[in-house]
Amino acid sequence: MALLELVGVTKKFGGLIANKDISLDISRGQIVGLIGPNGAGKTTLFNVITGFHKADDGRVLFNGHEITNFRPHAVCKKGVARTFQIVKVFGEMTVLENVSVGAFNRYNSGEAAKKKALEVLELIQLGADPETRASALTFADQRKLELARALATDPELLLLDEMMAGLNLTEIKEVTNLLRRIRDKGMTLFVVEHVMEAIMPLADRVIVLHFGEKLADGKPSEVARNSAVIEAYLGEEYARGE
Amino acid sequence: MRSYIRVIKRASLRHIGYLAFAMFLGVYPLIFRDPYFLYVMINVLLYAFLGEAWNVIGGYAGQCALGHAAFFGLGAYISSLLFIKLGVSPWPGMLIGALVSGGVSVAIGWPCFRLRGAYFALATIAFAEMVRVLFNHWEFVGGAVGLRLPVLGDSLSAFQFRSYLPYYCIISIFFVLSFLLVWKLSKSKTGFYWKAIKSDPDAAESLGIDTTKYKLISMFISSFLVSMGGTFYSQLVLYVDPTSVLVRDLSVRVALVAIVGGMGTIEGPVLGSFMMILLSSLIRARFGDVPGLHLVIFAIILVVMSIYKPQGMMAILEDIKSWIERRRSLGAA
Amino acid sequence: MPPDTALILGVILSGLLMGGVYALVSGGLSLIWGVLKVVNMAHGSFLMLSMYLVYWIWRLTGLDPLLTIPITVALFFLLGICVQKGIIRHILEASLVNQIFVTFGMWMLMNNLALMLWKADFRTVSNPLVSGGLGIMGVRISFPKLVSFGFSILATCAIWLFLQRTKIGIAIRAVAQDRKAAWLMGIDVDRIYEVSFGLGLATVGLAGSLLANFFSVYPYAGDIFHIFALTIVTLGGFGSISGSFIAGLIIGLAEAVSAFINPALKYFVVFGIFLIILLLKPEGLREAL
Repeated sequence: MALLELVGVTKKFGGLIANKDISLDISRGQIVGLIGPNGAGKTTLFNVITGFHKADDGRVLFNGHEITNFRPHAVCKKGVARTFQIVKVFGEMTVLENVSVGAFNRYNSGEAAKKKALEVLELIQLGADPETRASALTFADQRKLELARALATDPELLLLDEMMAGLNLTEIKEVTNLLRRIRDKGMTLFVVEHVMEAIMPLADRVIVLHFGEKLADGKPSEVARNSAVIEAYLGEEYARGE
Repeated sequence: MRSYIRVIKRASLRHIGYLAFAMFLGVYPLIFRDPYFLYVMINVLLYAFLGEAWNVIGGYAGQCALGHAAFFGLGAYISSLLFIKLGVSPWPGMLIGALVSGGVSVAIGWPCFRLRGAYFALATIAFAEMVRVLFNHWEFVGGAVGLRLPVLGDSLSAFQFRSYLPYYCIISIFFVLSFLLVWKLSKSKTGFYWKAIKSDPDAAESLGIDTTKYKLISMFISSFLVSMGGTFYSQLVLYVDPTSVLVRDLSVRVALVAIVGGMGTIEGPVLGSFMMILLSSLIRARFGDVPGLHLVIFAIILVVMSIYKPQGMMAILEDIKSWIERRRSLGAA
Repeated sequence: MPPDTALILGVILSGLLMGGVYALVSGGLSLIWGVLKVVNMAHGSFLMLSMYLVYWIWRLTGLDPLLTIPITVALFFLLGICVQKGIIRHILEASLVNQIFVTFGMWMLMNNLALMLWKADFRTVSNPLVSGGLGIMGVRISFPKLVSFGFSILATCAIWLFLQRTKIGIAIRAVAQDRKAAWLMGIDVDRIYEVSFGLGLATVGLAGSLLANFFSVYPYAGDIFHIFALTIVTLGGFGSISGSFIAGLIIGLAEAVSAFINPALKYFVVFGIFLIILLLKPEGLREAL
C-alpha cells in the first residue's frame, strides 16, 4: 500500500487551475522529487496535501486513510510534516525551543519534548548552540532548523519545499547527505526542488508538473530524457549531458 | 565552572526579585497605614492582575483582544445581581461570573479567530461596545444608573469590608495566583504552543498545533481572570454601572498595562501597572483633579513607547542589564 | 401624503443625508487604511478636534461654520502630513498591536486633551447660516443635513476623480495595491503616504465644519462617528471610496430606521451589523490584511 496517494486532486483559484486532476502515489522509504517550472503548481499541491488549501476535487490518502481537506494540524498528527518555501522559523525562540515545539506533537511534558528535540538536533548536526535565537542563525542553519523542527513531530512522510533554494554548493552537499541519512532511518521524502544538481542524483523518482498537470513520473534518468519534459523545462543541455 | 555559577546567579537574580517583591507586598500595609496608600496599591495590584490576564491572550497567544471590558463588566454585574436578587454570596458569584465570561468569550472567539489582524481586534471592540449598549438600556441590570450593592460593613461571606486591608490581602493573593499561573503556563506545552501561534500561525499548524483550540484556551483563561477582577472591583466600590465597568477605556487600559510593561513577559504587567497607577497618583497629588491630565500623560508615554520601545519596559530593563554587564566586563578587563 | 408615510420618508431621507456625512468621514479612514495599511483609531478624535476648531473660530470671530471649510480642509491636510511624518511613519512596519496602540494613544491623547482644556460641557453653535428645514409634501428635510450631504457628495466625488484621473491619484492607488512594486517603479512612497494621510484628515476637517452646524461639540463627539466609520469601511472594503460611500448610506439608513423604532436600538444595530459583516466575510478579510 502506498504511503501517500493522490487521486484526481484538482485545485482552482478563480479561473486559474493550479492543480488539474493530479494522481500519484509514493511508497515508504522513497525520495520522490516534484519538479516543474515556476507556477506549475508544486507548492499548491503541497498546500492541498497538508490542508492549507481546500481541494476542489479529488482525494488525498495517507496510509490508506482519507486525509482530504483535513486541517493542517490534523494532517501533521497523522504523520505528515512539511517545511515552507519561505523559511518560517520562530524567530524570537531559541533553536531548542523551536524544535521542542515540534516535539510536543507526540509528547506532553517539557522534559520529554526537550529530550526529543536534542536527539533530533544531534541527528541534523546543526552546528549552532541550542540556546541561540533562531533569528540570529545563518540562512542555511535556519533551513536546517525548520527541517529539524518538522522531524521532531515524528512524521512518516516529510514534505520539503525548496530546501536548497539560496544555499551554496557546500551547503547543498551537506543537506543532500542529511536527507539521505534521514531516509536511511526510515523516513519518506517528497521534495519540491528547483536545484536540478541536487534533486536528480538524490531522488529515486521524479514527478514533473507543468501548468498544473502531471507531465511525467519516473526515474530521474528517464524523466530527463522525456521529450515533453525537456521541451517544457529542463533545457537541452542537461538532457544531452545525461 | 564559572559559567555554571553565572547561570545560577542569573536565574537567582530573577527569583530573588520575585521574593523581594512578595516581601514588599507583605510589609507594605505595615509601613503605609494610610488608607489612601492602601487604595493606590490595591489599584496597582488589580491592574497588574488584569494585565497578567490580558497577557495570556495578547502577549502569549498573540491575539489583539481589545474588548476585555465586556468580561470585567460581566463579572461585576453577574456577581452583584446574584447577590442583590438571590442573596448568593459574591464568592461563588465570582466563580459563576467567571465561568459565564469564559463561556461567552469562547462563543465569541470561535467565529472571530478566523479573522486576521486588525479585524479580530475590531470585532472584540464591537462586541464589547454591544455589551455596554445592551447593559446601558436594560432595566433588569439598572440601565445607565447601574446597581448599588447594600453596604453591610465587615462581612467575609458578603465579600465586604470596612477597611481596605482585607481587600489588599485578597487582591494580593489574586495577583500572586495569576502570576504563578502565567509562569507555569509559559513553561508548559500550552505556553510553547501559544508562542508558536503568535510567532507564525501557519508554521504552528503544520507542526500539529490546533491553533483554534489553543487560542480558545487562552481566551477562556484570560476572560475568566478578568471577570474575577470585575467582581473584586464591584465589591470594592459597591457600585456597578456601565460607565465604570464596561467602557472601551477599560479595555485599552488593561491591554496598555501589559504592553507598556512588556508583552509576553510575566513581569511586564506588574511594571506597567506600577508605572501607570503611580504616575496617575503622583499627577493627581501634584496637579489636583484636572480631568484627563493623567490620561494625556499616559497617552504620550504609550505613543512614545509604542514607537521607540515596543517591547515595553521589560526591554528597557534588559537594556540596562546588558549595559551594566558591559561596563562590568570592561572594568574587569 | 398621509402623515405616517411622510414621517417614515422623513426618517429615511434623514438617514441617507447623515449617511453621506458618515461616508465622507469613512472615506478618509478608508483611504488611510488602504494606502498605509494602518487602522487609524484616532480618526474620530481628529473629527472632534475639527469640530472644536470650528466652534472656537465661531466663538471668537463669529465666522459661520460653513465658511470655515477652506480653513479646516487646508489645516487638517497639513496636520495629516505632520502626523504622518512625525508619528505614523515610524510604525508602518511595526506589529499590528503596536500600530493599533499608537493610534489608540493618539485617541486617548486628543480626547483627554480636549477634556482637560475645554471640560466635558456640550457646546453648540447657535444661529448658523444654515438651520431649520423645509417640508416638501409633508416630508421634513433638515437644511444642515442637506447642505452637509451636498458637500459630502461633492468631496467624495472630488476625491474619487482625484484618485482616478490625476497622476498622484494613480500613484496613490498603486501604493495601496503594492507598496514595493510602486517604490520600485520610482514612486516616492513617503510623499504618497503624506498626501494620503493628509487627504484622510482633510475629509475629517471638512466634516467638522459641516457637523458643527447641527451637532453638539464635546470631547467624545468623535467616538460615535469613529465606530460608524469602522463599520462602514469594513462593509465597503478598505481603500474603496465608492464602497465607503454606499456603505455610508446604508449605515446612515440603518441608524435612522432603528433609532426611529427605538432610540436605544441604534448602536446595537450598527455594532450588530459590524459583527455580522466581520463574521460573514472571512475570505475577503483574509486577503485584506
